[in-house]
Amino acid sequence: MIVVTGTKRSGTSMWMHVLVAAGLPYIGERFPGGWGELLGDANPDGFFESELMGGINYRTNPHPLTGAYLAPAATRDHAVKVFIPGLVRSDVAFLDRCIATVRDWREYVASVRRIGIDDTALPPALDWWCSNFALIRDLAIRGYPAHVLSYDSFLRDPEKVAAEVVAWIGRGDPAAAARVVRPERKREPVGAADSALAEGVDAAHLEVFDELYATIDAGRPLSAGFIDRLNAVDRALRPMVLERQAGVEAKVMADIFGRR
Amino acid sequence: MMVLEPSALQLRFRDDVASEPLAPPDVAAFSRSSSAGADPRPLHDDELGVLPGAGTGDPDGPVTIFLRQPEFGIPAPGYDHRVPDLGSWALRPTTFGWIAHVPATRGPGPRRAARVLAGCLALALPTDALAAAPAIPPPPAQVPASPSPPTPQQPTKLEPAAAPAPSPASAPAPSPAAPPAVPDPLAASPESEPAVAPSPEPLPAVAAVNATAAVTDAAWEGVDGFEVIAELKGGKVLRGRVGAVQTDTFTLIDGTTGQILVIPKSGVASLRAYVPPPIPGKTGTGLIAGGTILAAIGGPVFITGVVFLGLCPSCVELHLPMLLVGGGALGGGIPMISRGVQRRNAFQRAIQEHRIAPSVARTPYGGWAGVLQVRF
Repeated sequence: MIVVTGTKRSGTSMWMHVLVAAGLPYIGERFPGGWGELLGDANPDGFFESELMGGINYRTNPHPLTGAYLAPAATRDHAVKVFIPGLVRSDVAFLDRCIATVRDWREYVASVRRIGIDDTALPPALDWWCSNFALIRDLAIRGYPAHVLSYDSFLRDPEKVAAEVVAWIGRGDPAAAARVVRPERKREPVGAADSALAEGVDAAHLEVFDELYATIDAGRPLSAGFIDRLNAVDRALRPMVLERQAGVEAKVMADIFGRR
Repeated sequence: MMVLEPSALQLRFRDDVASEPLAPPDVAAFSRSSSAGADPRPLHDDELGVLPGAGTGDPDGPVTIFLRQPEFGIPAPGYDHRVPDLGSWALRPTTFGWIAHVPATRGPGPRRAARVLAGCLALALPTDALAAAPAIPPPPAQVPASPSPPTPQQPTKLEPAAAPAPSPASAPAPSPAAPPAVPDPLAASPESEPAVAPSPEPLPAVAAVNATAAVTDAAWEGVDGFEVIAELKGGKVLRGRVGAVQTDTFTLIDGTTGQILVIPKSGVASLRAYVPPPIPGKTGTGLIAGGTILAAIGGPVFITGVVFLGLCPSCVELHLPMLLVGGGALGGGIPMISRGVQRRNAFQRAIQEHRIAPSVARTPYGGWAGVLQVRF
């Protein structure tokens, strides 16, 4: 499969739109379940989400209700959107090509808050870090074909980037893909200070967030020293992540046990 | 080549059916419905577990859950995933994670309040690997095995010297003389992996261990899973739970911060198991009850005396006894309540410390699983 991955609000739908326009078969719906009426403004080109966005693995394939099975060999050309937590849980047999799009953490936080999809246990800034760190770690460890690029780099020259990516995939029509990209796509203003967006994440760690994004945006490889810094930041943030998750999960348990 | 007949399901010498797809994939079956949907929350729904208590849980007690997350970072450039590190999958008696207690869920009351702490160890064994272990064949399918409590190990052809298993309370750590259930062909030394299947008869591979090293390793394995107080050579004192013991290092889960520390054995000046203080015999209930009665009686009497004093200051025979009796009762009752509350808190703290206890239990696959028993 041609997996489009990233956090929410990072351009995954936009990339699905490009791949669909390029002529690749795809899994998902443009506006699932009537989303067009509710969230059409958020993604006018559609969302292209499917039940595989949580991962392509034993829990989702064969389909848990119908038993329908997507064989790896039969879906080599299919584009599918899988968010990062699902990507790291997906079987490598299905990861023929992976296009990962990363957005600046400030814009991500602002967009998530604006749309109102802040439904994870973590503050959006911390969620951004956890997802993108997990993405890089998974790419480094499992080594499947992947192309990581920034949201901004795509908007700077969408036609060129779309054509390059479709050519890298080796299937589809690069010219058709480039034609559907709308360069006038508006950038959403952040309009808030870092401290208000970070929700407890230290400023020193935010600098690493910025450096990671800048590195991806420039298309530079991650040096060994920078990887060490990424690992150090992750170690530093992990207690905060676990504490937040523990609180949420424990509330779930409290509900199950009828203690609320 | 076997020719597949569409009317029958061929089970012998099959070729890859997916290499010759008979029909286009049914991608519509995976379209997202409005109500259903895969939960894309990051990384933790599979790693959540509940540590059950032995009996019915206290409705007002804390809920304790166990969280696991990836503890590894991004590998350095040059990481070659084509070279399999099979040793990482050797059987280990420990699994790292975090224990967390429920935060406050119903009002600010202390009994409802959930407390968050972290840092823990839960002990478990990968059962699939144990099932495949050549040294300990799985029990017959028609004889279900109970995971707990430990029962005397049944003699087998591979284990002729069967003996009663150690009790859960007294043997939380694997026996140092026990043979490994699955010999690791890549292990550099026999002591690098703790044994998982207690047996009084060591296998030849274990017998080759250097005697001094074996004693040292046995001492370290003896504290594996226990809460210890470690004094480092620099003078720093750490208290926490030993999560794992490696060849040259050991893993300490700090009891206060939950940090997982890997400490070289050579850096430890002294190590002793932490023994929680005995549970106090007095719970403070008597003092609280007595103090409450005194305060309940003395309060109104004292107030009445004050009122009489205000209405009739000259009626000394009336208000003075009331003030003396009421004041005395209050003066005695309030300290009694305070003292009783202190005793009760100390008692509850002691109970809390005694709630977590390591133990081992037999698995249905013929191996052993170490667990932390948490009562709540």
